[in-house]
Amino acid sequence: MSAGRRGARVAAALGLASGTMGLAALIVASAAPAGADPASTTAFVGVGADVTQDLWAAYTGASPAPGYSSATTTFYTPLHSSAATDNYTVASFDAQPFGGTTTSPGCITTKTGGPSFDRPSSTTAGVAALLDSVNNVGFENTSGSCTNATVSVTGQVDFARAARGPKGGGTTLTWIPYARDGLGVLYYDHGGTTISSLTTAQLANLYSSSTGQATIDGVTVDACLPIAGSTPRSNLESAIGVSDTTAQTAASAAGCAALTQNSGNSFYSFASGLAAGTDAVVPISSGSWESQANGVAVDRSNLARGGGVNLASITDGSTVLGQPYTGTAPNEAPNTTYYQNSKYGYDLYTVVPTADVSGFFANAAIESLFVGTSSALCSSPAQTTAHTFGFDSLTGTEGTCGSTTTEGNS
Amino acid sequence: MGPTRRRGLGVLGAAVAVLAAGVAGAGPAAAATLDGTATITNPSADPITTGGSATQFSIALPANAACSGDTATGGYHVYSYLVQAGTVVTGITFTTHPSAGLGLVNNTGVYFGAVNTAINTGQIISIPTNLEFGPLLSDGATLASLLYSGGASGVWEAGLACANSSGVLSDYWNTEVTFTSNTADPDGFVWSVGPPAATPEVPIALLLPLTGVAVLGGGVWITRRRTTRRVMPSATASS
Repeated sequence: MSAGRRGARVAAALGLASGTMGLAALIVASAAPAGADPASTTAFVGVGADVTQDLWAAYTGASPAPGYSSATTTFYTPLHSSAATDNYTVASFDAQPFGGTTTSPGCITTKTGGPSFDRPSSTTAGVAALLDSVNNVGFENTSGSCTNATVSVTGQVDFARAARGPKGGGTTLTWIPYARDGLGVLYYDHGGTTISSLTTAQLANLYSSSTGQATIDGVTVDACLPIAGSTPRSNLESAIGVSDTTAQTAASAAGCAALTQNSGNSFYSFASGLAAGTDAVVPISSGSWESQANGVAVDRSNLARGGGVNLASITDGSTVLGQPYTGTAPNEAPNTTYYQNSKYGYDLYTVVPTADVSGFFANAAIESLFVGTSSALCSSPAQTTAHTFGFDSLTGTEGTCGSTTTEGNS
Repeated sequence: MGPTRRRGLGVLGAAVAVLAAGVAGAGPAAAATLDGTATITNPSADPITTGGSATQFSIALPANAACSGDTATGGYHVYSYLVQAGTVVTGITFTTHPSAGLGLVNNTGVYFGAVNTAINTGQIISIPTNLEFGPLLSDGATLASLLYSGGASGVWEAGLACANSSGVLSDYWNTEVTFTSNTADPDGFVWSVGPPAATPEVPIALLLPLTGVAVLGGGVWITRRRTTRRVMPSATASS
């Protein structure tokens, strides 16, 4: 074979190889993107209130979440934005992980590729995490941290579940009301006179006691509180007009100042160990109590109910509110009169960055989900789900579902 | 070694060099990328250079384009930006959105930003394929602001950027887009990719087939020339 022919064959071979590689590259470059990941990877992430964690689990599609308990999981149509806004869904992370506590809630990773950070264990913590995610500030739970350091949560939290209104000023966050809950007061009767009926004045006196005890109807009663930052705690203090510092002093003296919120069992575990004749009380979300009793939420109060723990009837001044619920389990329902009371009823909110609901960077999908009376959260199906979990729809005097007029950064 | 063989080896060397250059170009991004190239593509990842306000598009980055760090451990995030030409992109900071200008939005007007990178590698992933310029108007931008040059046109820098946990830009990939008034468009404007670079990059997918054709053609030409040279002397001898 001549040198020229060999050269030509080498050149031809190279040409074919090069062309083949180029064609392959062309095919690869032209290939359509890979199939989409699960819907959950684009869902808006919510953290915060323990009070509504089970309701929001339902809004994600299933509550209680499968696999964590023997409770029967009920499936719901997931809350989602309109078709015109691409049907975005929500992903809600509990304040209290199943089997865990809000005092040591551990860490969560909310989005693919995101950091592991403290699970916000309350409304206050959830709102703080949301604010930090907006402000590029590191977040850490004020107690029970699993990171023991602040962690950047930018982009990891899209909304917060709040079971109270804003405590402070600021315009970075917008609080959007969507339902109503009642502040209940659990009592444990340890013999003697039953304290099933309580007044605002009696509660104010109890939680102002430096010893953490007061005599009510001839019975010694201990003042208990759930963890700092939890809404049952702050809502009680607001209702009876006692500062957190004072109430903390009382509950600390009684030895029950940081119970897991909305856990009847946590309260029962403490109260059942008291001396005979000594009773105890603790604030709790009525909606959470009812949803647990009705079997639609993770039941953290079964032992308490079995031990006689129940919600007290409340009288505020001359107004008899009665018990927060009517009916019996599994058909307990909100006592509307109680929920509508300005002291013992309170609005539930979805908290979002104000920039998501106004201005150029407003998020149409967020707005479709939460803003306005025609939003997904204010729709009849979503409100029906809220009723299932022991919450009432808003009436005109309580607030307008989907309103964006309330702002506050904490 | 005769001249033909030397020529063959030369062709081989050139081809290897071309292949090597192509492979090098497809390698992982450097630790920090400033003013890398962003390419506007259609949803099927084919580059496009023009479109209307409702034309859906995506942004293609060089293979393995990555932020200087990842989200999980480094606190880096991916953001989009859209600023008037002449804006110093490295001067933009990011929280949930850029400190200046606008951003890229999808067909429903949702801003693409504060997105997590891949773990460890910091690779930029999950770039949407339903970006549009038209929804900028429903988000609050005005047509006059897009066409800021006398209402007829406006040149913008568009792209993706990485920012660290303090919001400081660390990397970015940019392309220039010109918005032009167009009364036939529902939103009143069309767009085109900015003035082409002086030495436009040729995609490897195009370069390799062309190189192959050229080398193949060269081989055929050499073969024919040698054949002609062998035939001509015998033809002369027989005459």
